[in-house]
Amino acid sequence: MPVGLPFYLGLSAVLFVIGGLGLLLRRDPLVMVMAIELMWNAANLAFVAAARHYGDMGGQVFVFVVITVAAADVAIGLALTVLLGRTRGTLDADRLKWLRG
Amino acid sequence: MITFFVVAAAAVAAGIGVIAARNAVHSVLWLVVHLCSLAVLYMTLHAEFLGLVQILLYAGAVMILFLFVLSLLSARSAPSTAVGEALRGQTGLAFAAAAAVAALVLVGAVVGNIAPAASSAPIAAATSSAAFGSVAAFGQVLFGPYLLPFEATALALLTAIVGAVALSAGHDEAVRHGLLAEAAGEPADGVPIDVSHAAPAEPVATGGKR
Repeated sequence: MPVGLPFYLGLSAVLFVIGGLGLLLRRDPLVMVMAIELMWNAANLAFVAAARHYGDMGGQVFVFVVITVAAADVAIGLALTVLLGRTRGTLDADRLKWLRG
Repeated sequence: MITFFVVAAAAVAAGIGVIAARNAVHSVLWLVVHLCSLAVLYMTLHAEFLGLVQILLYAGAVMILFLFVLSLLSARSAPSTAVGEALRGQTGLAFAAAAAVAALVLVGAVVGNIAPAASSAPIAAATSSAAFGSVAAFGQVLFGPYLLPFEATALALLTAIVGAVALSAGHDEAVRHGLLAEAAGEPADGVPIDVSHAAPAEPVATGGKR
């Protein structure tokens, strides 16, 4: 018996909240990027479930696009993290504040 | 039904593991578990191609990237990546925000359940066709009405490549010209980039910023 759309949306919301908590609570930029990945994937799950529910392949195509954009996001985020680690020697997000006005 | 709940529990547990693990390598491994369980969910939703892409691209390529960066960085600055406590009050605020989002979703779910047609409708009729989610159907949609977004992703990837290369190569150039200090301890001469480990508590004009 298939599970209905609300279950998938609920799971997606739970995963999104977990990702948001990780983004807010962790100070390691690498783990923060991973938390952002959790949030991307929660949105993807909602898209896939909706695509199945409504019988529209557009949702899956959108997930494909999101995965691509997330890969680009990871590339930039990790390049920034490496740059920070090499130039500053610290990976503490609370100390990365010399850019603020 | 059973599959969904088992895999959903695995996904939630792995997600908590990602943000709760002390060691960043463990976070990456938990993230792999999380992504694989999501791939299983995709497959149960007749999105087989997306499930495979998820495993290949996310759990394969992106996680390898994470591990590479981790091994690259942990050689230099291991100890500062410990989790520690966040800013004062940030934990409470974060959990309050999470509770707010959860309450919002709960209200949305209840309203959606009250509305008769939305959620009580069975899985749509189009899913009865066996072609739903297959690679052929996916390609026809991707290269048909969604061709422009597909091309736009190519542009996004190109931008990401150029950005990543510019960031790392630009760093090497800057180090060669002495613009950046290689480590945080030694200040670069000329450019006033202040590391400010022990920044004084600036009392003015930062209203609301924590």
